[in-house]
Amino acid sequence: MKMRLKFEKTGIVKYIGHLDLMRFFQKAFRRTSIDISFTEGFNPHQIMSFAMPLGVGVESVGEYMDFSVNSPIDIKKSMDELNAVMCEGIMVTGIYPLIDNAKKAMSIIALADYIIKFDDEIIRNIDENTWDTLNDKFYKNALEISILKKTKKSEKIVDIKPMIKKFRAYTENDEKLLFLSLDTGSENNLNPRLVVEALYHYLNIEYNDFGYHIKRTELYAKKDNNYLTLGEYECSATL
Amino acid sequence: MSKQALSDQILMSIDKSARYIGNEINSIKKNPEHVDIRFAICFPDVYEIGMSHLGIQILYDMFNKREDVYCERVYSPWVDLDKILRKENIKLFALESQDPVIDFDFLGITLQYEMCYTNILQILDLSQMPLYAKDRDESFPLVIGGGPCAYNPEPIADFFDLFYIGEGEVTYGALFELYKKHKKEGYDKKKFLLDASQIKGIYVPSLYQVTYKEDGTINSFKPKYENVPAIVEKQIVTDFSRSTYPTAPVVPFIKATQDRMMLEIARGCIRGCRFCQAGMIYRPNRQKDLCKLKEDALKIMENTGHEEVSLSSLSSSDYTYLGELVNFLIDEFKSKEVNISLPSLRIDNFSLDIMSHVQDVKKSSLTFAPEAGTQRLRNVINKGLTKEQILNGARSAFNGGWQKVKLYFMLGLPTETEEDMEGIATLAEDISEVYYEIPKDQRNGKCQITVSTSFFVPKPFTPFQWAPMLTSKDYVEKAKFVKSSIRSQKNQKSIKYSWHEADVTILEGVFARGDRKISKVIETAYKKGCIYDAWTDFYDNDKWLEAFDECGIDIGFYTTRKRELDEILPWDFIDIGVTRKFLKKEWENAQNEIVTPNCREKCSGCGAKKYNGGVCYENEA
Repeated sequence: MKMRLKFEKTGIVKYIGHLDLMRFFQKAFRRTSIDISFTEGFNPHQIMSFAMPLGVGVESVGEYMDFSVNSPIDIKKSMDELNAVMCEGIMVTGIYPLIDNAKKAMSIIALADYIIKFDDEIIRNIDENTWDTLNDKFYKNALEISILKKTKKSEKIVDIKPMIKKFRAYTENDEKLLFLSLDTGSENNLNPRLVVEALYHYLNIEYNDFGYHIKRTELYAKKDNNYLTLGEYECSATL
Repeated sequence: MSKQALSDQILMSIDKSARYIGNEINSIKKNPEHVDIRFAICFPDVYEIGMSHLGIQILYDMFNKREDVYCERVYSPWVDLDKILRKENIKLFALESQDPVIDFDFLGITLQYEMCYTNILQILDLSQMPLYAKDRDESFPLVIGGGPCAYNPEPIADFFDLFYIGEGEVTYGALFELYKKHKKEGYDKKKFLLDASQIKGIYVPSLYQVTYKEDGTINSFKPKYENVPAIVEKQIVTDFSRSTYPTAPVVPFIKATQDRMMLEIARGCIRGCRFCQAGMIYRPNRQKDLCKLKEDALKIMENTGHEEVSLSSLSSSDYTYLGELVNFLIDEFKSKEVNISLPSLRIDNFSLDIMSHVQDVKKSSLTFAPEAGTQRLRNVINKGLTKEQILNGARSAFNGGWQKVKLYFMLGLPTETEEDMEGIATLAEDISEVYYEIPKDQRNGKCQITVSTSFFVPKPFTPFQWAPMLTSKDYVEKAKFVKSSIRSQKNQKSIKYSWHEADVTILEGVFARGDRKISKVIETAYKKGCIYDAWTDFYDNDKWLEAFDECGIDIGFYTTRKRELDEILPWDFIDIGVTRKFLKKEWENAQNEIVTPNCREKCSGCGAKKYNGGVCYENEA
């Protein structure tokens, strides 16, 4: 039976890399009574796949992971059991049973939401109104938002505006924040750092890679013309 | 979010920052205000190595079970963070509270191998503590060392306030109570150390005076004060089955070198190989009760979720209930897809049968450790393994489907001749011929035999403690000789050969049998930038040679010099139970190529019987 698990990774555990997080969950499942399925072969491993690896240093309250169980599980009990063996900063916030032929989370992912919070004093000192005008000037009215994208093989200038589905610059409790909805997945994939870098360029401020914190807040799949959270997508109504 | 000693900017700019964040599963959080003693326990190497060490897990668990102690872990920062801590003047911190080590009551450092000695200075230095014990007053933590290298603490004695000689489970309680008493009555470091020296197993180097003869050997080694004991007695656990053992060990976030749960099935070894220090210092051999192991295995599994279980001992095959234990583990764990690893097994039909159940035969390799190439030399080192046993083991293994074999040898053993070195090549060849006895249509391509040699380093408290070493050049010649011997074998294409660095061997030899004069060499080398010497990438032999030169220390005095049997050795003040008389007798037996039976076959009266436990009393029980 296919299941999807939603979890948070916040605070200091943001420094745990993707592979280590995977091993963390494998061990965590072994500390519960959940009857997780294994692959065949001489060295079987738990059937487990993550929707979208989270970069080291990035926090999230909307991560998803698929796993399979051999027999039906009690959702509430399983969540309690898992949360009893988590560490500070990692918390299971939902378990969703999926329909039998549900596709893997990593293959359906289309969009991710992010909140960016700035530490950078230069950004923090921008006045509220100027910050607010970015919504129009940097995003809405811009014909394109171009940025130099470096890969191992090449460098090219790309227009990232079509991949930014939502952009909101706002101020809250004296904090300068951005809300971003970005194309994510195998088709189009935009790293939030590139958006922040483009914003620095636009503001004519020297880019500071350590000047802000990224928190991912939700992951979505696309159904027809709507985006559904991964917890809603192909979730089985029964159980 | 928990407090962090390092800023986000630092954590984002270094490799594997999860090494430094603490918060792992089963790590202990206490309020420092609510304890009397803060103990920083340190493995002076990188996190992944240190977290693989069972001894630290045992002590961490044992200390934290006490309400009055908060024990936290410290490891060597990797070279990237090392630079940042120096540049930004950040004090080295313990993982749990992220508080500076310098604010602790104790800094306990485990001494597992000699090549970590410069890392000890790194730990002290980054903690912003003076390197020498004499320069640290009451405001600094007491620095205590323990572990196998503490059996000759002299090369690093000047850096430590105390050493614990023996197994940590025994007298730390007494040390803590004494410390609390002194703290209450106004702590004076000198007075405390004087009292601490009365606790069995505790060695306070500053309370002993060493004088030297003109030739550099020790003239006398004496306590400076009347009531300080002249001999420090090793402490060991007598009732091993009831001894404390961590059933909820810390589970690292990042992959440790040994990413598995460990069951310590026995301590000590019945074999008595004459080169092996562990085989002597952990005497007598003690086995853990089977029921206790079963109980612990289930608890540890539940508390860690590890996907592999490994047995820990010096020789698994000598554990009396091995078959029952392994069958239990297979029954309990195999269905849960938990792997079982069985290190240090003697290869015979019994062990091959067990291994075929827990390993992928095609992928795994079998390891033999003949240690020497001829029967004569194996008799000298008392490695009770015959060529027939090796070939029979290999034959059974090949018939069972294995085709990869690893062979471990030592070069430079006492009395070694060219014939012995050639024997390494011919033994490998003989094993390959056993493989090619199998009809061609039934075998699976070529066999792969990997021969590895290390250079022998004489260790304190072994029968070979008097043995001279060779020069680096001689060692390299030996390796070349073995290489050409292997290359002239018929099946040489099936045999791979690799050997260890010779320069590091020399240094290890100096540290292993060094005296107090060595500490300034270590300090000098450290100040030249030597660190992580156990890592080939960082080891800088030229800097070490410069350090010896500048300190006026002759390497040959510690390595190639012939030691007389009546010479006072730097570690003679320690009593490990095994007597000097026995070691001498064994040194003679070695020259005469006489094999000494193992402890179960016959007691050879080594002296360890005085501990009232273990194999010495097995037949009486």
